[in-house]
Amino acid sequence: MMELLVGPVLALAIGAGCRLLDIPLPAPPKLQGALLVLAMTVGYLLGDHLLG
Amino acid sequence: MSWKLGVGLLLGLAIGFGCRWLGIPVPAPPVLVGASLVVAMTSGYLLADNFIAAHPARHRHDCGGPSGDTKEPRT
Repeated sequence: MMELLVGPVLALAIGAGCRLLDIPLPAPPKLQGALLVLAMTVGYLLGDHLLG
Repeated sequence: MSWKLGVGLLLGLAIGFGCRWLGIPVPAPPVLVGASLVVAMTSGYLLADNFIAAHPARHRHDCGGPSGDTKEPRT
């Protein structure tokens, strides 16, 4: 449960730090790109659920 | 939500489904928490971007250029 709280906070801090320090972000810099990554994962899990 | 984003999300779903179907490694974290962390990282980046845009540097004219001269025009 603690990891689920620490993870998003750490990810937000990494994203903000990358922007403030002008370091390339290890994620798409646009929200639409990040949502596409999420959609791919959802599609993969959906396929995993349907195919077995 | 624009139709392009809708098409993109459908394409992402199809790519994820196809990767699982064909046994190809998916170009995204295969766990939902991992994908949520990617979204959180992008959100943090965008939040910092908005913060920087709302707080421009007030002492930029005091900063030196490549030669150290404060009056030197920046390129």
